[in-house]
Amino acid sequence: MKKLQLVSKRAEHNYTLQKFLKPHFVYIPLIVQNNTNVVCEVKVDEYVYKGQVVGSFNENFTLKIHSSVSGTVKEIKKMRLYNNELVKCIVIENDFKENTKYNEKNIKKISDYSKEEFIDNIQNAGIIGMGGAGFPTYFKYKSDNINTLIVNAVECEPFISSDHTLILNNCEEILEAVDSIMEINNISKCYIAIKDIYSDLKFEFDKYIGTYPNIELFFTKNYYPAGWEKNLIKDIMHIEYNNLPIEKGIVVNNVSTIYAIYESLKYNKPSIERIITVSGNLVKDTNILIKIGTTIKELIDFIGMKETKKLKVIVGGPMMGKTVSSLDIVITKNVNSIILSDEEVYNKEVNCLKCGKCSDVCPSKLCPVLIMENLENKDELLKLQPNKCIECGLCSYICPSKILLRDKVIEAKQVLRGDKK
Amino acid sequence: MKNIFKNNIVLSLCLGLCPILAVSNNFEAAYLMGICVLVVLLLSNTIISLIRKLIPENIIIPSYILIIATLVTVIEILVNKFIPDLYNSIGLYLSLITVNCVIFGRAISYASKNTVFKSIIDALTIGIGYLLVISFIGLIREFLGNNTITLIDKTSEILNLPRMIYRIVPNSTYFPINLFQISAGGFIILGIIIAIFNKVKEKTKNE
Amino acid sequence: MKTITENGPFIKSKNSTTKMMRNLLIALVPIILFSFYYNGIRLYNLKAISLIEMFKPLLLILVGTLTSFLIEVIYALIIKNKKPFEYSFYSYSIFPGLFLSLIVPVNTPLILLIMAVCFGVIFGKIVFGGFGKNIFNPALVGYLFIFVCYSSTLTSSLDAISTATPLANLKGFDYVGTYNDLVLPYNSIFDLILGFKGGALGEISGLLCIIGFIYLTITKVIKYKIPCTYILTVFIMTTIIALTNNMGLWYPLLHIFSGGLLFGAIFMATDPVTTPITSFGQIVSGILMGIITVICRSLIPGLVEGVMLSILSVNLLVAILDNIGVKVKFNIKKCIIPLVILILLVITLSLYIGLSKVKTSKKDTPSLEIIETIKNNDKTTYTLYSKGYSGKIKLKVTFNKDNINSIEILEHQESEFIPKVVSSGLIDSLVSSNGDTSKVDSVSGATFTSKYLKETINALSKHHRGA
Repeated sequence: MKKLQLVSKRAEHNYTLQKFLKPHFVYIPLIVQNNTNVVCEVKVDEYVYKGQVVGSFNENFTLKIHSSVSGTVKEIKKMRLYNNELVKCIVIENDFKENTKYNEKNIKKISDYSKEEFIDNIQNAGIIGMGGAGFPTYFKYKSDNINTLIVNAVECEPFISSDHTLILNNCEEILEAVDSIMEINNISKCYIAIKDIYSDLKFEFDKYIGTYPNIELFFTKNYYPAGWEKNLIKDIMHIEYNNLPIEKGIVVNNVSTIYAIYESLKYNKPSIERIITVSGNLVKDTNILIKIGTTIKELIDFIGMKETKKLKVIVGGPMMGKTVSSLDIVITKNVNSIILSDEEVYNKEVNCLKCGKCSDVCPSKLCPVLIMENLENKDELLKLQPNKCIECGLCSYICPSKILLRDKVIEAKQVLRGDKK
Repeated sequence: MKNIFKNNIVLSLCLGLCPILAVSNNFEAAYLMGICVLVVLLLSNTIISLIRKLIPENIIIPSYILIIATLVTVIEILVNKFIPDLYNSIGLYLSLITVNCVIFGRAISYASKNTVFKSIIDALTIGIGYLLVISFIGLIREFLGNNTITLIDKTSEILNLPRMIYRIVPNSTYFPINLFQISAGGFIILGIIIAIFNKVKEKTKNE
Repeated sequence: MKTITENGPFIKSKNSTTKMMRNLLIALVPIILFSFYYNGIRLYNLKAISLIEMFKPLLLILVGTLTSFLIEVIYALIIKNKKPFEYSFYSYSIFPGLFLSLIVPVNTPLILLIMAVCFGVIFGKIVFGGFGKNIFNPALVGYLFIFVCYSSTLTSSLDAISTATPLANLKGFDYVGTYNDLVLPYNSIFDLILGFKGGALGEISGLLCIIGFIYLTITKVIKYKIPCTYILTVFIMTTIIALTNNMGLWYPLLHIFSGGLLFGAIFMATDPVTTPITSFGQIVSGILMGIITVICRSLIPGLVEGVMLSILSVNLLVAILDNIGVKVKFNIKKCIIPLVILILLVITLSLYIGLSKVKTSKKDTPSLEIIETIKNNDKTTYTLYSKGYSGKIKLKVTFNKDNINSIEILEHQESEFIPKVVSSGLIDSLVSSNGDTSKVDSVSGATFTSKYLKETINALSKHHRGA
């Protein structure tokens, strides 16, 4: 596998944090990990507080969903999420009073929690992975044999800088949280992974990291996808695992998730806010703190956008993100970037040249061109193992014939799945 | 009938290709081979369909091969006596008619299950189809590869007719093309003819 | 405002197929210019050919390229495509014609080239479905057509530009050959490397091919693993052959720089459509091509050029190699067994070739091909053929009693060597030698021609005295 550095022309990142904490309406989606079997705990016209539990999920794991503002429940209607699916959402009208029931000033030593209290706390705070996958965090800490914690602050997709901004603003708290997690769970070593080109992050960490002897910084090279779990664990610890890193006693968390854990342990504050990056050639590059459940439309009205005839709204990074069909999309916990642009990227597609570049760069060691040829032949597809694809998009990026290879591999996955059902 | 054109044994079922590739670089040898195949097919179909009820199920394969081999040997001896030149050039492939899929295939699939009259008609149509294809390919290959068309050369003594070998265009350094004398050229010509045949079949089906 | 939905990554890399093909053309330009100089301008300066014939190389390239472009245009018109020229351009149709015109001998008649390009493009590319779907390299299919049908036409052509290639020279000996026999005709091994030797347009300069290879690897256009393993395999095999016969390093270098090996390995064996995709497949295909080339050059009599056959044979095996390559990607330990088998094959074959060749040539008297003998009292005039370097030399030798009176050269095909031989006075020394040619010195730069003439005069005078 070749380590490829993505080349893209873009403006400088802007690391000053802005805040947009006053949306008119907030839409809380009742969905957990693609499962809409969430019980709604409030009724229409009921008054809710900021941080109150409005939904709970009890199937393969237990998770709670909170309201991010205080106000009245207007209705329960279907709204679109970032993957263009319609999901039932609780619509809350903000009264801008920020009434809460949890004590925002409560300061408790966060390393005093026992392991069971710790797991209960983050489970009740509804913390899920904020790097994009959305996996319930408490589940990762259930095991007793954790020996290493890896904090993923790599942010390998270009254009995104939300984790970077978070670290520049809250470095001390993050280190304190990591130290407490290690003490509570008996973890012996922690690595914080950042890209080696960001010297300002190194400077920021070096101010505080001296007091934490078990936390080490790890610098990854500037390639894509450096932040992928398998690559990270291979680079840092030289270990390979089969399904989940917990098999080898490793837990990987995104740095935004760690900060959410900090807020929950320290102030009992559930996960109701996050930092996202808004970029693209139609807006100025911004990192902004928003409430979960804001629509893109309200966000854009706040930031301001250039007028254009053809708008592309991309949720996610430029490699793995997807376009959405309207501006009334709800921002959920695992969205970390929005790109607004009107640049044309479409190129004319020609026949496949069989140059082999896609096979060289694939991080999962697949051959997308052979998968594309064998879409009808299920026996051959099984040998090529398209299920290992992480949909990173490198094959479509590098193809000289401009073929959309990632879509073909996704189609192959569907062919194999459609068979099994 | 259908067997001659639509379900031609060579073009749509691709059976019996060995003599076509080996023998057809000479037009006369090609049509004589086709006639031999036709005769053997006719006789074998007749005989097999006459005695089809007498042979038990589990020895049909050896007994059919025995019948076909006998017929082929008779034909070979006749050809050797009357047209020795022909025997010298394609004698090997005459013996190979025994295992030609055309004859054995029709025997198993048609003659062993139908009456004598139907088998004779079937043999005639299949054989004529085969004869047409092999002669056509022989014509093209000889023209392209040797710049001649041989109508009667080796059988001139027995039929008391003069030799008829016609040269078409004046020889130059680039024509005739040597490729079509060897089997590779035969494959290419056969492939082109099957492609054209399939295209015509598709067009007539759509209409 | 209208929102657009689109698929796929929203940043794309800057390379494209058209850019890759453009880089390929840039790498070919020095080779074309050098061979135009060597086969055209230099010979014109030596007054061996006329002005119009000087442009033959460029004309050959132009005709080949244009033919293959037009065939695809005609095909596009037949399948009722609305934009035939655009179809032909995006199908990169000029490359089969271009490569074919660079590997045929320079004296190929133009009609033959057009027929070969048509055959190659139709049966090597169009019947499989166009660009990106063919199994065989279309330029090599066209070359195969010429080789099968018209090899006799090419070798018997009396065009003065043709000179024998070092490879034909290699085949002329049934023993392994010595430095004197194989390299001295070209003055030194460096001349061989730099490219002052005969051959087709692309084969001439090995050094420029290597420079092209470096350029193409830097711009990431070709699959560089294939030429590296191919040439490495040939080098190792010929080194083993040289070691078992006590020859120096010049023997592997001779093999690498003669014939179309460098050009074929760098430009034709790396054609992206017909070569494996996986790294392991590429390495194995390079090794296989090397083995087959050395076998064809050394073991199979009658076959001069092995590169074409080896590339075409490996083109057949691409699907199997990719299958193995995919398995090796997932589990690297599966590459051990095939590699071990191949290395064993390389070593045993080269040892076999090296040890089985005869060490020195049999001493045989050259047979005389006398056309006519005219006896006139004491004078006898023989008209005969002598063996020459690139063909036969027709001589007329007059004997007066037992002494040679005159030697006249009637016909020859040695465009460079006969002028040298004549101007250096070899003919006069042969006349005055009276048949005992062991004291006559060969002409440097025309070693073979001198050697053959000496042998012929020697045998002829023995025959004359014996008769």
